[in-house]
Amino acid sequence: MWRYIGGFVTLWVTDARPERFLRLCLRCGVGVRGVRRQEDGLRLSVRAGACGRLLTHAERLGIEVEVLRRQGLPFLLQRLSVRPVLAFGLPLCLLALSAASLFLWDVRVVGAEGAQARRVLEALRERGVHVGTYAEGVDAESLQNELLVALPELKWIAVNIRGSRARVHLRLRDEGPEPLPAAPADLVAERDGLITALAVFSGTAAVQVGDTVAAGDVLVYGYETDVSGVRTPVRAEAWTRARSWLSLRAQTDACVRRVHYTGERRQTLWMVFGKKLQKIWPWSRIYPSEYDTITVRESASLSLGLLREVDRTYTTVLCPYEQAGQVLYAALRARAESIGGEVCSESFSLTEGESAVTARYECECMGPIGTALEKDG
Amino acid sequence: MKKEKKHRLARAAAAAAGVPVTVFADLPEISLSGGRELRVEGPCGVLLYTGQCILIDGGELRLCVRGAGLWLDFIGTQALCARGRIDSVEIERAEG
Repeated sequence: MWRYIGGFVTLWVTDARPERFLRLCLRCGVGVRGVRRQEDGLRLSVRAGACGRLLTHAERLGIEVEVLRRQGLPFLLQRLSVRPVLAFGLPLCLLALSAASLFLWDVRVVGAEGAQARRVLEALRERGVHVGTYAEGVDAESLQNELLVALPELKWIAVNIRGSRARVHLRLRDEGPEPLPAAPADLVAERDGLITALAVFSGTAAVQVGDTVAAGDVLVYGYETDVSGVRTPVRAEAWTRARSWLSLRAQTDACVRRVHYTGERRQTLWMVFGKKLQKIWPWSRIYPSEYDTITVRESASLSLGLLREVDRTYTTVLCPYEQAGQVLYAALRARAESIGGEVCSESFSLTEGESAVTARYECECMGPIGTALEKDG
Repeated sequence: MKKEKKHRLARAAAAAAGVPVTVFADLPEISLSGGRELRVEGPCGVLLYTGQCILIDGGELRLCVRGAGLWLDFIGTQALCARGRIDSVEIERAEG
């Protein structure tokens, strides 16, 4: 290797006593390699740097020496110097090849075919992983997690990146067993109310629009009767709407703690290089005792981008009685909506005790009322 | 004569220390590997070279290597390596 870099010359010594040339080389401190005796001379090679000196001495001593071949990097460069395009094109080509090896040129899905494989590739593309992506910038672990969430049909997934190739190994979820036929059931009222709408899909209606029902009353019977009077058990299904009245109570401490933003916002900018982060501005900061952070990533691709963090300083303050009431009102209204549907009218009252506040919330709701009740046996 | 005395002292020192004499004296060290390779380390030169015989100058000693298809892989001022089929290696003491 070093011999090639330094260059070497193959010589042909045709003197009657060629050993004289070997002695000359040793006297000049030049090592000789590959000395082979042939019929009419000696073939050997010496380093290119010493060749000129040796030939001069040999000529002075009358030793007949002929240069057979010049090999090595210096001679190659000398030959290339007359072809500048080749001389610059070769290193440029090598540089381009090494730069290209930093990017992904082959993205394949193993474990799925056809439309499913295309869907996975599309999901990868949406997350910035495609042919031409900077390979170092791909965070395989977070990509796996994102894909598992985004594609529910996946059982597991592994993203392996080796050089310029990305292999996505996956297993699809098995199709579940056929659902069992629905068990016969009645549709009953889950709370007291006044029926305002009823559309029966299966079963036999037990009530009519305008009827008042109590919790547990049957709205739709779980059977159907044919023309001959035979009853066939079915699972009752219907679209119901009822007006119902709810009364809810809640209690809390007389004072509650709430977050109060002071309005002070500070911004930090980070540069993203692949998986590495470099803070750009500011270099240092004293953080307040209580703050929350909003992180916004603005990036052209996974490999390069800008990360902006906004810290919002806040303090916690004790809220007086009225504000405790607001908290309770919001909580009770949310609960009423989850039970009874849309709130039509409401009333809210607060009772202040020694150490607690009790809230009473009454409302009129409009929403579905029916729930299935399977028959025994 | 002076050289002879120096070598004698070197031999005595090497024997006392239990190390090769080349540690103390500038003498060629000859090693033969499997009848196909001969290495000489130390000051040496080539007096004669043909495909069947190589005469190596090692100062006080001369080494005559006989065989067939002999060629010199490397010759430097402090080392020499001959390859080929080696049939015999003779040591001759230089006169004077």
